[in-house]
Amino acid sequence: MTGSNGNGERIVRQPISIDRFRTLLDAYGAAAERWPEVERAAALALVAESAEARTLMDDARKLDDLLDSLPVAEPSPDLTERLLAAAPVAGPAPSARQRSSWIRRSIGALWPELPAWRPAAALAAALACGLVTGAFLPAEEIGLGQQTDLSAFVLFDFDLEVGETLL
Amino acid sequence: MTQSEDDALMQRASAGDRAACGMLVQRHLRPVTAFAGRLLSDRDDAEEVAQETFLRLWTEAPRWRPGGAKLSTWLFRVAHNLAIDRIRRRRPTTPLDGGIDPVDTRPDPAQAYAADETARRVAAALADLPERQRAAIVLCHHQGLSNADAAAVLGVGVEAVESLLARGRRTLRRRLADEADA
Repeated sequence: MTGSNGNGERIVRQPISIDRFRTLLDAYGAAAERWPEVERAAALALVAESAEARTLMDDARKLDDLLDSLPVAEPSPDLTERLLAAAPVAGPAPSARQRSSWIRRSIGALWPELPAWRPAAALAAALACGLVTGAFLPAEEIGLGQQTDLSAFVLFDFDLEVGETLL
Repeated sequence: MTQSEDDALMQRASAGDRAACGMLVQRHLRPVTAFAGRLLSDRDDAEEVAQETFLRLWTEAPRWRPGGAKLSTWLFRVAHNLAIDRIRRRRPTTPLDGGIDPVDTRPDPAQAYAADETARRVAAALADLPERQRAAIVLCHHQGLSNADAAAVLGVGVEAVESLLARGRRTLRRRLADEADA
């Protein structure tokens, strides 16, 4: 027997087996709020009636407690200020020159100690390396078609005009 | 914090509304930093990943589509990919000349990350897991994401997330058996 929750997901109303309960604990641990909503009520019903289920739950809780011992990395107070200094600015749609100015300001906000010429030099060097690599290496050697730098899946809107520098 | 509120803030942020940018940072910077910290076991690296994630958010703001991806999912996904890139760059490489690698005398960031011995062992055991198992555990256990949201971050199905979680937690339980029984 099943129903559904507000998200249209099926809610399991029939009893779940001890094997399925063990799998739930293996995956999600002993805290009921981490269990899939669709099976939570059935799993809690099993806990209420089964000593074996309660023993399994106590065992799973030990690992939960260990995982909870990991510290939390907190952002430093000045990171917020630097991020806001690099945030978009008000006004009409920016031109390419204005966008490059925004990029320069962002780099300056995030790395204030960086000398002004270095971002432009780094960009030019990276561009030159990329062109040389692309021109002279066979496709399979440079992993064409593979995404090795995962962080690159979000593309920047850096459509600088030819000959335009960052600075 | 709802998706529609985040969508509205993104629209305002893309128009240069500083208050909206501040709200977005206030809502999402801590969980993104905490997520990166647990993946990397390194506070400095976590902060750099969080910074880069938000810099990309500002760039993405004008193209943000309300009603599309959840903002938190997008942020965790970018932070996850940035963190994985860092983890892969950390791996030792074989010296080209067949010589011996110089001894790395830098302090172990995991030592600074976790203050007590138990937490250090947990951090080390977590760091030894395959990347996706580690990310699934941090997303679901520590960040409190549902299996569906974790699946969206990792780009896999819900059943795959459950499998990653179960395999990862079983491995952790074996490696941390001494602490678990204490």
